[in-house]
Order: sequence, then structure tokens, then C-alpha cells
Amino acid sequence: MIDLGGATVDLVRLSLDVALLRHQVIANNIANAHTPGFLPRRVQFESLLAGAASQPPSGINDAALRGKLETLTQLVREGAVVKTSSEDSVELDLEMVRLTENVIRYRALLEALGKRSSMIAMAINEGRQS
Amino acid sequence: MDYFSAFDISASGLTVQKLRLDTVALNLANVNTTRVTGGGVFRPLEVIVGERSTFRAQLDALQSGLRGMGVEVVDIRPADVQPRLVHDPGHPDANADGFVEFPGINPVSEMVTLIETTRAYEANVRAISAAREIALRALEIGSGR
Repeated sequence: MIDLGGATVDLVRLSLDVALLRHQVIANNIANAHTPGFLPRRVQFESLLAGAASQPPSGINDAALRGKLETLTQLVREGAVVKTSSEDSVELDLEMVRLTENVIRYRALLEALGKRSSMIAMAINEGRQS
Repeated sequence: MDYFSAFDISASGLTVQKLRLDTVALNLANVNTTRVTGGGVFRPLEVIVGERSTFRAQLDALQSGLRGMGVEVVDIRPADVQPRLVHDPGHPDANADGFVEFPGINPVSEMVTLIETTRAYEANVRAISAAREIALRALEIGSGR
């Protein structure tokens, strides 16, 4: 199979999954805004991503990135990115801000995916504007 | 990852907030109710809310790492408040001393709950429209522009 996507597409796919998970976590925080004893939860993913983005000694290549992606995907699947917040109550306004931010992030990711696929499309069309 | 559990979480929030609203309405409507079926004075109801822990939610929790998904009503019970005593010897429900027991409903705190509930309902609606936007955007993946 020809690999048209590369590590970029895998990374975007994982980030989209995380964005959806984050939406669910925020929705859960909002739904439980008045639940006594409920501790809000957060998704911590970008800090893991920053660690993974550090350049390997061999330079950036697909194989190295894929290896890291594998580890990250596993962490997301296991739910290790969902953390209980230290705040003891849900701040509804802050949750709304996070919700909006998350939708924008999601759109940005899809935009990146679209740009990538238009590059591939250009290569397929031998550089002609399709 | 499925998109529908996001809707499901917020929908559970809407259900709970609507029930809280119904309870406020019931309490306010019965502010002067001195007798109920079964005898005694009307006692204001309060809703106890907890994080949802259905089987389905447990299953989802295993898959996504969220320990619970959504919210549910744990209990609706009469609030532990003392009746308000009003001196009205002519009232049919007056006791031997001429006092009538009225429900110990505090209209101010009921109104506060009303406002709080409305805001929480709105927040859940916003979460649903955000989930909708995410799901619709995802449908556009690969539809060239």
C-alpha cells in the first residue's frame, strides 16, 4: 500500500480523537456542575506531545515519529490522559471557554489535514491546479 | 471514540436540570399548601444529583478512561425544613393553639435555584451544539475544497 498520509495524518488522527475525548470530559464537567463532591477532570495531552516532539539524534524521520505516536496512542486508549483536577468545584464559565477553544482546535486540525491532502492532490495532478 | 456519547453526556445534564426546574416549580406552586394526600403539610422537595454510574457508563468508562459519564438523579426527597407557623385560628387546618403549618419554602432560595438551573441548562445546550459542530466538521474530512 502506498503511504500517502505519513506520520502527519496519524498525528492529526490521534489529536482529533483527543479533542473528542476532551469534549466528552468537558461535557461531563458541565453536566455535573451541581453534583456535590464532584471533582472536574482535565485532558492532559499537549504536554505529552511536547515531550514527543523533541528531535531525535538521527533527525526527524517518519519511523521515529511513528514509534512515539504508537506510545501516545496507547496512553490515550488507556485513558491515562484524563486527570482529576485539583480544583474542588466546576467553574461553568471556564468550562465554556475550554469548550469553545476545543472546537476551534478541532477545526484547526481538520484545516491542517485538508492542506496536507491538497498537497498530495497537487502531486497526483503533476502540479496542475485541479 | 464515538460522537454520540458526547451528546449522551450533555443530554443527561439537560434531563437533570429540567427535573430540578420541575421541582422548583412544584415547590413554588405549593407555597401555601397546608394539606397533602396522606395528611400533613406539604414538604418542599429537593433533588439529589450524582455522577451517572449505569452499566453502559461503566463500559464506556473502561474504554475511554472516564470513570463516569454524565449525571443522574439519585434521589428526590422532602427537604428537612421546619414548617412555617402562622397564627390563623379560623383556618380549617389550624391546630389547638390556633397555628397553621405552612410549608417551610424559602422563595428566595427557590428563585436562586431557578436561575442556577437555567444557566446550567444553557451550558449543557452549548455543549451539545459544540458536539454537533465537531461531528459535522468530522463529516467534512476529505471532501475536497
